[in-house]
Amino acid sequence: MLYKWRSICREINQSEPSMRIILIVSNYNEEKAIINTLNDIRSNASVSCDVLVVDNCSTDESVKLIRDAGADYIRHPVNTGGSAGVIKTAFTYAYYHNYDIYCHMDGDNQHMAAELQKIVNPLVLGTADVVTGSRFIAREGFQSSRSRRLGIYIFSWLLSLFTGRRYTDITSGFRAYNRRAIEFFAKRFKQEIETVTQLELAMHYGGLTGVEVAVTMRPRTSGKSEINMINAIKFPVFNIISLLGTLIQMRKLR
Amino acid sequence: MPIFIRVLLAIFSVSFFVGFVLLVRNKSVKPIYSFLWLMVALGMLSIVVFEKFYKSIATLLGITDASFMVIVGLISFLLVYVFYISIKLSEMSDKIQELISFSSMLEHDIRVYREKHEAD
Repeated sequence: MLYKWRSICREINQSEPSMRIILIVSNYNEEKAIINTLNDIRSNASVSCDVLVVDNCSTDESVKLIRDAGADYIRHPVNTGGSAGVIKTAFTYAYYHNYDIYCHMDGDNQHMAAELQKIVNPLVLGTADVVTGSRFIAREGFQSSRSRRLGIYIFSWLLSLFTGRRYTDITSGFRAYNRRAIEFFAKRFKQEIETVTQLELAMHYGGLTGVEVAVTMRPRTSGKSEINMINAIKFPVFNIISLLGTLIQMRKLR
Repeated sequence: MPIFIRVLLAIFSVSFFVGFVLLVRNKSVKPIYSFLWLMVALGMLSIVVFEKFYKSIATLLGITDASFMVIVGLISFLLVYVFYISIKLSEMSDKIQELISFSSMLEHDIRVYREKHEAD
């Protein structure tokens, strides 16, 4: 099935045809959105890549739908709580299967497969090690709720303060990593990953170069966001703890 | 120490000791993790038996009453134990994550291999 998907994706990154790219889609109870996400990738992916869904032990029908759609998937035997577990598996997979570039997309169909080339290009050109798709650069499309935007703004500001680089969308799940970054996160900073936010900080202290590119996001049309009443309190606390943890570990990262 | 407290402490420590021995016997707790608790039970029992000895240590440390010594001892022990558990927990969560990642990848590889094999 993996090979079938590879042939479906368009051959656009012909400047570096030898580069092996994997697009990993995270999924947790996204039965209403995952098929749209996969269809979007199948029809609009702007880079040639292998596609793999990493399922965090969904309790709904999404895995069955993924299987029926003929997509390749990995299923965690137990839920790891949050997206960090999926990212850890994704880095491990990309590392051990010798991929040159690992792109990440959420399974909620908010990211656009047509924009994959935007996040892959800087890696192919060698201008960055990690590329993050930010919806707050061009300010087009879905911009998230006001409270979430405020949270993102505060943490982006904090990160900018520590790293001296401007961040706009630190919680974005639309990212791409080159081999150097894959190795860094798979070998040196995998177990420490608790939140997506700390990846930027770890990257900075690990000597990796990151850039943000403007992307557009669709609004969530189905399923539930991770952010609810409890998580609205839990997330900032977790983010602060993980950022402090990364700051404490920064000497080890250098 | 009043006799009532001594009896209560003796009953508590004996039941604590027996309880942990039963847990180990039923394989609910691993011997390595129960060892410290068994030592605590014996420690509490020793306070009842060797009260004078503990009193002299308490006086040496400037603690006015032997019962305070018990409390200070227990809190110190619990702090050290919680610290130890935190380290163990971190190690365990790393190992569990690694097992989750590798077992799911292995399951995936077996599935892909089977599909490919069946197709051939």
